[in-house]
Amino acid sequence: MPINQQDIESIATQTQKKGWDEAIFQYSLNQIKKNERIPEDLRIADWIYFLPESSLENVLVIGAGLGTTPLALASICQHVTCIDSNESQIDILKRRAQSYSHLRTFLSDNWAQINNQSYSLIAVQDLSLAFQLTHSQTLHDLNNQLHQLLSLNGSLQLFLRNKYSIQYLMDRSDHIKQTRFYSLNQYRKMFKKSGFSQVSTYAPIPHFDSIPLFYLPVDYHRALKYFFKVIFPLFEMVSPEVTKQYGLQYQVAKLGANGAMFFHLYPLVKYFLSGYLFIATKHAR
Amino acid sequence: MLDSLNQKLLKDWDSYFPGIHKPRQIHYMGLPGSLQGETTSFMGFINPMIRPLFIVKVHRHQDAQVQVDNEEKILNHLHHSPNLIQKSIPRLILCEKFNHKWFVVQSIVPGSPLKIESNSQGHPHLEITKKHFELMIAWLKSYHDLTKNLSPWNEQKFIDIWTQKIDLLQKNYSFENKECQVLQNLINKLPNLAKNMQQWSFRHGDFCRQNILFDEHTHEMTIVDWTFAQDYSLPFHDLFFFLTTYFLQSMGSYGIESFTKAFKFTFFDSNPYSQLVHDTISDFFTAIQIDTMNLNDFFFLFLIEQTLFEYKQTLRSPHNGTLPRFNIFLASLKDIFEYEEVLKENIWIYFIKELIELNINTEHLSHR
Repeated sequence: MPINQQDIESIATQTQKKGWDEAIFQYSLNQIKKNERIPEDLRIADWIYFLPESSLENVLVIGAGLGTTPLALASICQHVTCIDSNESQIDILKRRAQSYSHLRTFLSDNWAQINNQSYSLIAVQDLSLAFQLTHSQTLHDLNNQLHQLLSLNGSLQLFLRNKYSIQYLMDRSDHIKQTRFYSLNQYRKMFKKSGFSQVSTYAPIPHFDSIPLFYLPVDYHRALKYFFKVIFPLFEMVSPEVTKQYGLQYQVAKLGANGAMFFHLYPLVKYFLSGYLFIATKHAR
Repeated sequence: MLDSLNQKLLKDWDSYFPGIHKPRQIHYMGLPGSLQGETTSFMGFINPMIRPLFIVKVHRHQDAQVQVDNEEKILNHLHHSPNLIQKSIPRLILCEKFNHKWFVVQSIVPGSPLKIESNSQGHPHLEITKKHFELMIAWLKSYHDLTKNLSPWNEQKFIDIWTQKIDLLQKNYSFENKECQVLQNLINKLPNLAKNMQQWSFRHGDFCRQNILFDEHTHEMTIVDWTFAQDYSLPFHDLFFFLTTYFLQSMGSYGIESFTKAFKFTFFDSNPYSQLVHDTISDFFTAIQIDTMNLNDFFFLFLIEQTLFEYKQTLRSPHNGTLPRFNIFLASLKDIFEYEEVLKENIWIYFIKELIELNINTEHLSHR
């Protein structure tokens, strides 16, 4: 979930003056007062546990965010390189990562230095930055470019919006309309075409681009059915604070889930989720 | 990393899952859960089962050794106990580190979390609540019998620990003179309380209805999420925690006033529900052979223990990237904006203040 530049600079300044803990507290307080979401906490990086062991050696993270994902990867990987065009975000990460000597940060003008190495994992946290760095015009171009940077059996990780999601259809933000998005099957075809032999797909619920409550394995129907039949109804047992936070999305999802279960259409639900987490693994061409 | 776990499980499948045909693949659904829990979970599915076979709990932080040890200790101990308890807990399948992270694999247990039913006034439905309480008490009594000797009792240790805890509470939170006096009186009573209590327990640590699963077909109860299990605890901690939280989240409104209102409704107002609560407490204290004459003071100790626990958890939370949203929410309600003060915000300190006020006005829990 993008954070506006003013907030990023404020967090960076506060981190410099008072430390990360206080900086994120002030930002979170302001978000809660405005009844808005907090964009990052550790749960946003829980997908790291889906990664194959072979991908944990040498990692490139494109897009620092507030540092959560690079730090989560640094806790399990041997070498992490993070690149971003935003100086404030790099500054925040540097201050948070002081105890991680194996985490290096670069501004995007150092891309030439970065892209002459190969990586066991490329984690794309900022899609528009990835396009910019690789001078890609299309997602297919981007996949091809990043594929070349991966070592054998390396993996590419991406969060991608689903063009058939209800949220996408309801969202009228200009920046969303300007970017081309695809369906689940279209994404998969693209990865295959770019030479990725294995593509694991998960759906972060409720939103693909914010803190998830679940990661659904979209290709395993038994898990989807179990989720809609057993777990989804339990959402009403969570605290009023959580239901308030996810109010509208939950009502829309509830309608869809009940319909899907009633008509035994739950295998089709995966085509209408907000977006996906892809972990695509390379094979030798 | 789950692939490393898969390799281990599939290699010795029969020893981990006897009687279950070894699959070719294991599929996972992620359940990040709440941030304060410090763990993220994954349900493991195999063909042709329609339900998950096991759950993997991953501790996000590398310093989870004590928590993992406690959970392993208590689950292994209970697994060798009589049937009632053995069947009511998850089976510990594997406890191992992969890439510096602790993975705790447990069996899936049947049932859904205890669901509260309300009457037309928004209060707990008495008959259904009574059944829940009966189930819970029966379990807690058996659990207590099985675990009371895991933490050897020592009166002086109890007095020392509790003097430190009450001092720590006063150091971290501000109290008025009258309130300090009540707390000082509590310290003075510790030797008598020790003589009455004479036992520790190994608490579950998060014994709320969301972690109590009830199977409607077998009418059996199972207790999950042993992440915060801890020795040298008050033997009534889990009981009081259950009773305090039972009604809390089902209130329509959400704020400090509604929580303290629910707290008073549960323990101090005159109504059939609070009578049921008191009968349940008496029943349990009788079973564990602790005299109820010190009930008020024991309740105090529980609230202090819980307040300090929540505070300690909040201090750890910047590791998770942010403070718990609930802390920030509580602080914003009271216009508290200083970071150090926000860290201290939790609902339990408000309950302590309520109890102190009630004590000052001589409305003791044990006088009900």
